[in-house]
Amino acid sequence: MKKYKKMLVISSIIMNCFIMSSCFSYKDINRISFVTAMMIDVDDSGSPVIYAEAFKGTRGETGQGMDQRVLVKGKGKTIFEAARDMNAVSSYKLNYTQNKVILFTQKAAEFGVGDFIDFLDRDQEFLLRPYITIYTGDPEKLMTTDLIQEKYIGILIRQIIENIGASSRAVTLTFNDFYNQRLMGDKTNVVTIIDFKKDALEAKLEINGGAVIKKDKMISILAKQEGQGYNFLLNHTKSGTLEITNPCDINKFVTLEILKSKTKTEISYDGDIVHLKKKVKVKVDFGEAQKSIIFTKENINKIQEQSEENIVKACNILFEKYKGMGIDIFDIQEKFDEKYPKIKIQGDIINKTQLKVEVEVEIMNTGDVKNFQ
Amino acid sequence: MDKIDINYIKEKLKNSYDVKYREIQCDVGTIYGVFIDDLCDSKFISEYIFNPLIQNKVNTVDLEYIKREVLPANSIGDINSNDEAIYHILSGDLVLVFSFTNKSFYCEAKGYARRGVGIPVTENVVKGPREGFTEAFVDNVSLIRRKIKNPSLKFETIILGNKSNTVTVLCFIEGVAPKKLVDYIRKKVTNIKLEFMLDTNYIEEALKNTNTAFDTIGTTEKPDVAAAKLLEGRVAIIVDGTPFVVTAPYFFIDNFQTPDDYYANKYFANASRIMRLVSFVLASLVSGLYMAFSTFHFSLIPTIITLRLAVTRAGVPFPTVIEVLLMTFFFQLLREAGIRLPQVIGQAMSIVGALLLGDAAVGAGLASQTTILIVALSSIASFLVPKIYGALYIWNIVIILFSSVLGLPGFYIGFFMFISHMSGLESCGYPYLFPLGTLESFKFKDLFYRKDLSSISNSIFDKDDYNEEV
Repeated sequence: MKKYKKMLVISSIIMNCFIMSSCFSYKDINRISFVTAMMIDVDDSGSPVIYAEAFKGTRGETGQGMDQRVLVKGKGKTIFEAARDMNAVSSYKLNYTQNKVILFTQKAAEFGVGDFIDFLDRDQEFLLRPYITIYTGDPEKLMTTDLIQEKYIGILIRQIIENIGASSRAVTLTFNDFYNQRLMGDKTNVVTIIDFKKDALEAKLEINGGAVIKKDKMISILAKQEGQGYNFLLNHTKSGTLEITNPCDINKFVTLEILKSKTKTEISYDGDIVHLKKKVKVKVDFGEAQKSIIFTKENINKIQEQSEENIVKACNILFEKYKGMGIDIFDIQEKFDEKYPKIKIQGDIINKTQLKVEVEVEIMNTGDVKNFQ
Repeated sequence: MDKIDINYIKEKLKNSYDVKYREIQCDVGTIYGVFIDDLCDSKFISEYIFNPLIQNKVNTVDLEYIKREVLPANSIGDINSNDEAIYHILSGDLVLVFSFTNKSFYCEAKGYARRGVGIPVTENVVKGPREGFTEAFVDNVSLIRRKIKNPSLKFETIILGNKSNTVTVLCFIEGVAPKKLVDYIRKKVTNIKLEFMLDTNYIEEALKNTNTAFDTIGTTEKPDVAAAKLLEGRVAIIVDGTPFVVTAPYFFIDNFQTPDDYYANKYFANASRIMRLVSFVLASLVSGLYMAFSTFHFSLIPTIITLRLAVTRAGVPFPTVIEVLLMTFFFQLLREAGIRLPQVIGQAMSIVGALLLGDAAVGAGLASQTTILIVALSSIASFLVPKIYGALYIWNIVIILFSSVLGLPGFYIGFFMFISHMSGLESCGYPYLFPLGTLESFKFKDLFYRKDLSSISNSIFDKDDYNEEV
């Protein structure tokens, strides 16, 4: 009886595992093409066109093996059909588990991404890890350009996005956040825009602001310069720089390096107006001064005050712009719903919102020249 | 007491050239001296037994006087039966049979060739005692006696093997070893029914769990290790004819303890022990994980590694599972060859093997570099815990097979089976994983790291163990 029970338990575990393993099946890693970037475009009739960049291992001449960049394109009435169409020309099955970025062309984004993203959510190979971006140029040009920095566009875009600490103006968004935001509050997302850098010496990609997507359709572009205000308001700033007029010479600048930034949001409703208060605390280090600077208490105070003013100004300008457009890219609706779940405000909430930004900049270190070499 | 019949002895030991008979005629009859030339010290017998007997012929009627005053042999005992006489002869004693009386006795005169105390081959130490057990059980007993000068240290002899009559010695410290443990082992050993016994493995098989590749009984070649086990409350079994001494019970965690742990700096010893534990995990699981990740769960591997894996495996004609099993088999071949060959040829073979596995297999497209790395890592890691190498090898294959069928769920099944199998094992009535996974009080302060010697130098058993009856 004991033996029978033991066998029963073992069989149940094994059977359970067959069920748990779902559609995964044995596949040798060298017999798969791994997609690193996937771009979704639409043709004139609104049908999806997919471009995918993938890598696969091939036998090298020396027997050591080498990686090969594979570009495939697929068309179909639906995105699934287009994905299947891509497999028809690929020697190995395309696998999306290593996909780093999903790019929508501007045309596809303006057409509406709603028709395409269900497949990307439903299919188990598509993960929520990749970044979502909008590409504003010619899709074929992007896929076929040889970039010196990195062979694979997907990996390069991910590296650029993850290196974003260098800039406080860039906007980033993962697919996971995109899925959350498209269903919450005002259903508005700000998605990274990727483009070729105009004045670069060689072909280079850059993050060039953000695309405002409301209810799955791109409706506006957040300029790169507006990114700073957006990031401060949304508590997305991790690092970056603030450029302030040099108090010793009004024609010159000083640069402050952002070490840490924290934005606290308070929302209140008086029955008529929604009061949105953003308390921004920024810790900065003194980065550089054009010409020279004398660190007197007065000068430091001036720098501090001016940097605070700049942040307040950037935030207010951006807020007013989108208030005018009636687009809530600041998650006001979400915050309001969290605090007042029973109150429904008619119309766009941003039109009834007053923003108050309180900024506190703390200069941690005025800096010494540390290295004479 | 039966009269010892010299003819019976002669009949039993006929056709053995080395059995010597010496007759000494005296006034009242004949004294027969029977001994085996190869096992006895002939010079000792001539000088200290036969010579005094010849010199004292007149007194031979009084055997007690002979034992007391004439024979200077250190051990003299009475013999009560013909079979006992034969046993003593075969054990290397001289048996004296008197035609004029029922009494006869033996004198210890052992003098056979024996190996000197050497350095144990299987248990090297950087620091600490280097002497090892020998094939002669008396030497082994003396080696332990020298370590533990305690009147409670007991050596009980049990004769095993109907044909070989091998001396087996049950060794324990009274009051330190739980009585129920000693009784359990004594009962098991006494009940062993064998025609002959040549090694400790005959005892091990009787004591340990069947249907497992894990050794649930320990062996050692080092007297200091045996002494330490005895002082912890365990039982040692010495078998005549082998330099390995059985220690019981033997727990899973013992596989990770080495003599160096107690003789070297505590911190380094602990780092080494943790490394051995990590090696165990690597040796048992890394191949299975590699199998699962590289054939099922690509999303769990970083992109750059995925790319490298795809590149290194490009051109390998076999599925990954065949490749991993093939390379594991190659490593096993290499290991077996290394063990069986003489040391000088073994080194040359190692170089050929390293070339074969490291380079030629990749060049020939039989395996990828990553697979070789994984299999080599797994194999080398298993060398750090040599006492469970066999079990690791088998379970590694089981986990690889499960992983290749079901990916990570398969890996989990294999892993759970592995753990449950170990949990189900017992060593002399104690759980093999003791004190892991048991509700026993945590007295074993020598588990994942060694504490100060002063706090671990005591019995490993719980107080309750001493009160329990068999």
